[in-house]
Amino acid sequence: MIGLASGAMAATGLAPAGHGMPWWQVPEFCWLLVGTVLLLGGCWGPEPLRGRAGAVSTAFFGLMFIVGLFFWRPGGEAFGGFYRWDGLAILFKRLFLFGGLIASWMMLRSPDGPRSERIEYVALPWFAVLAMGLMASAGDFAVLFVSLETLTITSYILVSLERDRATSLEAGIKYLIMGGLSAAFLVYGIALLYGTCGTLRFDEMASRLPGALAGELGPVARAGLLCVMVAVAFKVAAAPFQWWVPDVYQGAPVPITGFLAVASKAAGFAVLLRLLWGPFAGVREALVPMIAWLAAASIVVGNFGALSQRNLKRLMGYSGVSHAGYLLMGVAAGTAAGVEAVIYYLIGYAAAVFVVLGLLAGLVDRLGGADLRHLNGLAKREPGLAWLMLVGLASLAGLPPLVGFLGKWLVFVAAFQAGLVWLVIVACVGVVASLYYYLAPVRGMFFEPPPPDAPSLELDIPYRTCISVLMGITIILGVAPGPVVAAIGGLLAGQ
Amino acid sequence: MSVSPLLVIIGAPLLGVLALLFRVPGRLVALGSTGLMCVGALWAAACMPAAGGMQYRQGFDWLEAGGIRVTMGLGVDGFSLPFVILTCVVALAAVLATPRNMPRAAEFYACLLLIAAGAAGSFLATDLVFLYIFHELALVPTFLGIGIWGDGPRRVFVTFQTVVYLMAGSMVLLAGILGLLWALRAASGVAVVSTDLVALRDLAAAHAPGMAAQRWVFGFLLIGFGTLVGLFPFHTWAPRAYAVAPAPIAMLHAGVLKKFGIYGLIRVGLAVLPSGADAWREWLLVLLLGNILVIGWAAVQQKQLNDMLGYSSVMHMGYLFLGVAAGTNLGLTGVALLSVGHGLSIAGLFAVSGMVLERSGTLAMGQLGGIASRLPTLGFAFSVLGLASIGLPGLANFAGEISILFGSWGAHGDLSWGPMPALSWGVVAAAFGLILSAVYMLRATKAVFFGPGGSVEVEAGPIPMAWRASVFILIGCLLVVGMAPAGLSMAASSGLAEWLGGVAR
Repeated sequence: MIGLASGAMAATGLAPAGHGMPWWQVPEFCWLLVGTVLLLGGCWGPEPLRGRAGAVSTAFFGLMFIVGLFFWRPGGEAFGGFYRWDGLAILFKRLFLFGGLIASWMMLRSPDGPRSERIEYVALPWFAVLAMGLMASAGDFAVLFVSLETLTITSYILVSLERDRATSLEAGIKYLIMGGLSAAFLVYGIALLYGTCGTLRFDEMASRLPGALAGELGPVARAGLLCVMVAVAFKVAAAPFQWWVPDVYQGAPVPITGFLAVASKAAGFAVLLRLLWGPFAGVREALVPMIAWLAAASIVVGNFGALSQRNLKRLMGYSGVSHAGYLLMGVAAGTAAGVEAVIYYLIGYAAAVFVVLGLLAGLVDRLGGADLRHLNGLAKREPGLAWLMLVGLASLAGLPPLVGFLGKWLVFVAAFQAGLVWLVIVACVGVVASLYYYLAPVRGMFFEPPPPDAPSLELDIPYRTCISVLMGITIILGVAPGPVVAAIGGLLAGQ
Repeated sequence: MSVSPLLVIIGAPLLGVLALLFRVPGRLVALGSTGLMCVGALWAAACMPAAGGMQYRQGFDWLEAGGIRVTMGLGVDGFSLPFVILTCVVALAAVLATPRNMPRAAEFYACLLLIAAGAAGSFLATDLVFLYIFHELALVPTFLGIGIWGDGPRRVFVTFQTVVYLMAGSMVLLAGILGLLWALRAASGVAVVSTDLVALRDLAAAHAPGMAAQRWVFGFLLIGFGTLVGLFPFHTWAPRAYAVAPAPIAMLHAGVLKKFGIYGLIRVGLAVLPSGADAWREWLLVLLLGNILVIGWAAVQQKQLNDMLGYSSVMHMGYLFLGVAAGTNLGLTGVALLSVGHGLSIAGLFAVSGMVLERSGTLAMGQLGGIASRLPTLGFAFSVLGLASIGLPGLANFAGEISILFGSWGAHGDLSWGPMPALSWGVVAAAFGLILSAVYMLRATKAVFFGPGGSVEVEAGPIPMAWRASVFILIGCLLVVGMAPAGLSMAASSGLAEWLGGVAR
């Protein structure tokens, strides 16, 4: 009973203004509780409940998302500063919950792979979201490392749970190797930074790092900084640390691909922003050129790598790399406008990716696969679905009046104002190239005849509605961005 | 927000697309929406006050981020009015010219309406960013329109080429827009730059950006807008796209949407960056000579009717650019008039070529012949429209061309090539271009419509009333504007004088 009560209170996450936030108001405890109950109940609970675990999990994600959207107010920290509760953390936690909600909904309805009777699929997203939430709130390198590892281990399992499918296992192995490498970089970097600054706390390091860099151990601190940045670059899938992305996106079940593309990438950016406006704030200016180069490399590698792809999930993988590049442009701007742009871009990216992958998840078994040729003639078989897919892809390509355009506009403006004109020009070239591969599926859907004896593609009404709502978000956020942009700005300013 | 004619013009096609989602019969919706657009255009023109400046202005602040305030605003002045009327008339004509048995009709009309909405919006928007957004709105429908309903073996390739090319132009334009805002902010030192066109123009008049910035930014705008119009050598997408596109899409795109680049160059480039325009004048002159002479020559060489029309359409853009290069009030007024004339005539010509294709199954001029004896309507329409496009007095194109030529002769005497001002050379070339266009247009008329019968069978059944209506609306408008150009030219002239202020002489 006590657990339930504290969970209910925690769900509100209502924190008093100023410092000090009691532990039970940390919403992650509530998420942990839900995940644990689902896991135990799914393993040992009575049969009728076990079958409904997926629906229960989706409902709880929805509930938590609504609570997060309407009741969270920034201000305060818990556990003596290890846990931050500011606007940045709140914005990202909402995004993670949104990702968890849509992904678990997709798993529930999608005929592809994940079955809701497999309890791992139901419970693990909760632990993943929990880990992401802690990453976004981290106030200390130890918390950051532990939560990042939790996320990575959860993701291995999610990616490779389709044990009878070789591609899924291959994806799991690739992700494992990548995760190990990135964790090694991170822990090594943390060790070096600890060695030179003598602290793991973000706020203390912020004041000591510039001195450490200038001191006689400067090269060591610099190496530590570099290692941490590399680990984060792995996580956000920025080139040249992107090689794992296409295989993992292709091998994972479609809902998990969507979850990784949206939530996991967002978590990487949460960490990056947290670091650059936390412990590395003093050296942010010095890191800008490096981030700008990462951005340019990601835009080029992602967009030009996607041109020759013939599989929609792989294509979304390369496209994800290029979007990491555009997002890094906003980070490289190093201004409040840049951070605002990054968050707006992530919201729009999430909606558009879920439109495309959500449709794919619902259709993939009856289409016969996720190759582009499997989409042939979709406009003749199901015009409504083809137009939905078109809107999702057009938003990813950054065409107005969709949210993708607005995200790019904000990011480009931020980068331009920061004087990164060359980067904006690289990004413009990337956008032109990207139009080609985003229109490649459209070509198949609209120009080609459907294959003979194609089965019917009925999608049930709730699923259709869900995808239509997501499409509505891409349009509304593109047509009327003012309120959301203002809300993001307000939260980041701590109001 | 009260109902204004502009809201009708922009809202009708968008509501039409919405209605199509709910399975309302496509042709009915499309006719209704484009008809409403024409009503809106007439209303706007009839109630337009004589005093200059933006009329029917309405709007609100849309987004403020990163030191840039974007406003969503609509308005029309004497200069944009001709373009708006052109959009509405050609949109209606394109719908009427669509065959009744069009496959996947609802999707087709949705594409047409979206292109029309994008074009109308880009001429009505009073905000730089919305100018861009509305034009981009037409990109995906263009892609679908050419790709699904296009004709010819290289359909898919041409579709991708067109869209990627247009997107490349748009991105150069976007970079130019960002550069413009940044340059204005640097020059004026204001914290928040509004992208409202009037505010931008006034800001630039008060704090002109430095010469280097003007030159760079105008270069980007010129190439960006120029690609969208088909400025030599960034034109290669246009003839192919129009050759492949179904007739109604080609009508809207060649007739209306392509004028956006010219409109934007004058509305933004000349008004905000006059020194940049001066710096690029000689380059622009060289490029537009490429349009008139090189592409004119290419048009003479074409063997397919719609290839010839595509090149001819790109060639005539050279005349519009000549008016822009001159930058005089008379020349720019001519640009507005010729845009209308060219838009109406090329739309009609594409409608005719679409009908020829439908009836004979080919557009190869070597295989066609004597169609006028079987289908006199087609012969009559093509002759009149072809003569209009050459510049026969009494039709709208003549008024535009003559204004451009007079407006350009001797303008900017400080820039001279040999014995004459450079722009006078442009006029000489343009006069020679008129001969070229007479050659290819009359040759095509003779080969396809008159003379002995061709090697292919032409189906002689009655021509649908809707199609007749479409072409006669276009010819009627050409005649009205050609006989009495004063209404439009005075509106355009006073609008330009007000907009460009001291810039245009």
